[in-house]
Amino acid sequence: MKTVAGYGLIIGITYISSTLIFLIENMSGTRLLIPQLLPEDGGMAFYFITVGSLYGYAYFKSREKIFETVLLVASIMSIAIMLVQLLNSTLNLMITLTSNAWIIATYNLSRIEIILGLLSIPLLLRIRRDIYE
Amino acid sequence: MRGDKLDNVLPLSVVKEGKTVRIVKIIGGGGLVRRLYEIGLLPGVEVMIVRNSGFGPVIIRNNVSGTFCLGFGVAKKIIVEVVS
Amino acid sequence: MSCHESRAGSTLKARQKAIKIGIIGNPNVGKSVLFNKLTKGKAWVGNWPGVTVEKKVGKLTLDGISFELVDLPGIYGLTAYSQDELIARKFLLEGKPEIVIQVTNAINLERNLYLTIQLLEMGFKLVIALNMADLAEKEGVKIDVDGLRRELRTPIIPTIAVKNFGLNQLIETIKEQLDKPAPFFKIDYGPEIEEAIEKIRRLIDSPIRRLGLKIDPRWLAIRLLEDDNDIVQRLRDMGFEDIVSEARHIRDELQAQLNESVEVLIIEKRYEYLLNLSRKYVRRKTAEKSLTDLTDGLDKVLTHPILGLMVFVSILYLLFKFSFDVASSLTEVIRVTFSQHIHDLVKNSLHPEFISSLFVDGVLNGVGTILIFIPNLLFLFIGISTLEDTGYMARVAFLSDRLMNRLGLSGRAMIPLLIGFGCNVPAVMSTRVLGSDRERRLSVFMIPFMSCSARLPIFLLLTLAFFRENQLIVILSMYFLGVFIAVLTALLFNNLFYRKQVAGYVMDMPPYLNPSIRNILAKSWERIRSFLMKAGTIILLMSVVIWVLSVTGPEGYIGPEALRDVELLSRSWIASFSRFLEPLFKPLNWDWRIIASLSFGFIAKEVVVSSLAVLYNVGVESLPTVLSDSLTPLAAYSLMTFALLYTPCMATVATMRNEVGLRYTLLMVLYQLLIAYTAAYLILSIGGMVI
Repeated sequence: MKTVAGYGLIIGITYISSTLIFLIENMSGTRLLIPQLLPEDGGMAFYFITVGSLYGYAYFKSREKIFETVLLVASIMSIAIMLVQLLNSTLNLMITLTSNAWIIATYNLSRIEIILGLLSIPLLLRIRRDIYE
Repeated sequence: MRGDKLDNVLPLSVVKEGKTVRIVKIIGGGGLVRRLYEIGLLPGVEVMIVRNSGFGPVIIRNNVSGTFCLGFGVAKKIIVEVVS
Repeated sequence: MSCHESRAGSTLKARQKAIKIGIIGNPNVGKSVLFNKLTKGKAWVGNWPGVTVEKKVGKLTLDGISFELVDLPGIYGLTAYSQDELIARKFLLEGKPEIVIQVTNAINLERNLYLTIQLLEMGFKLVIALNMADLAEKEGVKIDVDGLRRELRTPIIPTIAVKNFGLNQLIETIKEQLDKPAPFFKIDYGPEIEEAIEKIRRLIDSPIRRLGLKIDPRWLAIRLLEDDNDIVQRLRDMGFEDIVSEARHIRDELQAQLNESVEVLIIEKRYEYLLNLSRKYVRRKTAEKSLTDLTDGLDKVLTHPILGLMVFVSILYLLFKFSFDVASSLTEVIRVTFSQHIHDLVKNSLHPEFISSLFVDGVLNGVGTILIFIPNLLFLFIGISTLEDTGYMARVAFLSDRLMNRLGLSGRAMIPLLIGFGCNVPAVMSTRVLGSDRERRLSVFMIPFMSCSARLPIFLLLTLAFFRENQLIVILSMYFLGVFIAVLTALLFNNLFYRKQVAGYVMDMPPYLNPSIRNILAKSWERIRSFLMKAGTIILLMSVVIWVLSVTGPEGYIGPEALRDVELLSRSWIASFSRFLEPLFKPLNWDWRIIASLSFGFIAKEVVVSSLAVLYNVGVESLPTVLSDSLTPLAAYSLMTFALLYTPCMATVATMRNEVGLRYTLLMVLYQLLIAYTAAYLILSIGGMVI
């Protein structure tokens, strides 16, 4: 269980640090990181904070029963935003089938929520097995 | 409430999470009482408090009724005694 | 409807009319899933006679027998306290279904059986679908179906509707039941109550027989003892005042004798009976990994005072991203296809110009306005249905309850209000889930002030022209102003009409479940269709009306060029109408062109910007420059306020009419115009004094 919790914590810390950099950039008006690795807007920043906190909370509760369900919620939310973004870029790609659409698509696919969403899939599968079987 | 002299009798809205209580009485109008009775919340029935923050709605559960969320106003009108 | 029915001796094949079947059950038992599976999606929405609440009707044909299935609202009992219960009972009493299918949840069977008892007491032929049989087994609930079947003398079929399990057997059973008599069912309410029931029964027995009513007299007697207002009213309407008062007398006597409320005693007896059933036929052992444990665990997180709220706000963000960002590319496709390809096609193939313009600028514009809504609505409905089917919506209500209580609403009203920021139309539609009429109306009154996405272009344009430096702050101030007015409206109307009532409510918290994609799509499609049929027709009609008013004027027919030429348009009815209104808007310093574009905005707020462009005879891109010459920043802010607060759009008005009726809709439209005008005026005059 400790490994699972630690893995989740790393994902969580990534979410939180990405948001912190986003906030620092916005407040100071400087550019610190490529935009793919930062939330798109304030709403997504909040989303990141939430998922990050859930992963963190799960880590601290890793000896209690609640651990599994917190991790379940965190990984589902992580994957949900990935799916929405994937759908978004797929539809955009299908509709604007121009030459630079592929560049935009690659850009979108390398976005942080897609990467972290993918990394959360094994976590969800593991937790699901623990809960349902 | 004034009529009940028992010490451990109190409104559902102030019972802590995780406790099991037995319903003693439901105060209030016919509509509310009937609605609660219909879903199986009647005197003598035991319920578990799943969630209660003390000033909002209360979530309760038992085998017969399943899980229900009662508005704060409703929870205040259900008088219970703590079983465990 | 019922006069040609001859039940006795009719063979199945000889029946001409469809056999009516009602589907009833508690909320969250999988009733709609079962309905959709049985009717294979062939269902439509009809209106109830008398009340404007929709019912879902579906057809099912088997071996040449056609059945008409009616999906009734989810209810706990037939006591007729909520609108839903009244509707269900009205159907049972007046719709005369031949068979009633009760969908039950096997996990908490006892609570479901309360409704079963009431249906059996009414004398219905009942078929019970013991749904979610798999989940119950997982929970460690074991039901002796045969024993229960014998005891209730009613067929009970274990089903798993989402997996199609047991549905064939259910249909077979329905067929078998057709020619069987209704079972005899009776609960012993104890000597005192039984005596009173018998007394009342004797009173009403002969009048019922004389009138040939198919109502069980014993049931009627029990209802009278329970002091059922609806039944009392019905009897009074039939001229049985004497029976009613006699029954009241018997009831009062009994009450004095027992020294307790008779209706409570009757319910207690029913529960005593069904708890006895439960002791005999339901076994529970604690399951190791149960759904309840999972639900409890999830609730620890999702209703947590801090984490729960964070998750809620985040899910909201995701919902909006899904339904507005993702859908926007599809909206764009529809818009482009419509405004270019189809427009040109129709324009070039129709002659004369008058006809082609009627189709292109009138009808097609209307169709386009409707279609443009579809992607957003579809995605939003899919998102909401998913949240509903997982059981999360009930938790949202829990989380926002305290906040909403201050406005006299319950937490459940939060969802429609939030949807309103996206689009007011689905927001108004989603108020259906709310319990009381009062709560529904209050939230429908609040929704139009939630600044929907269509208002944003107006704000963007005007802030670009006047508040380039603090664009975001000014736009945000609009959103907050909208929320502020909505809150004031709720407080005002609650005080005015409902004397500060607070919603006291009891809400089922369903277990968390994996949603079924098919069910989500079916549900969303049904909601879209409902929008198309209701709001669609009105939008279409109004578009044509506006077209006619633009191409004709006091001098007669002007021609479709008026839509593109401000000189010609100024001779149209729209212009005359706007000029007529000009004195009214004198305090706001608006000329007829602004008034006209705001009138166009009544069709859809999206149109305001484009019609301003037409009226000022410039392209949208140079509109800010032109506007900043003719308006002061203060006037622009007051114009934005007006645009925020006045009637959202025709589609919303049409939807409101369906949900709360014409009277309240008209009241609301007037109220909004008044509020918008007052607010715009106050901003202009107070702002003028300050600056």
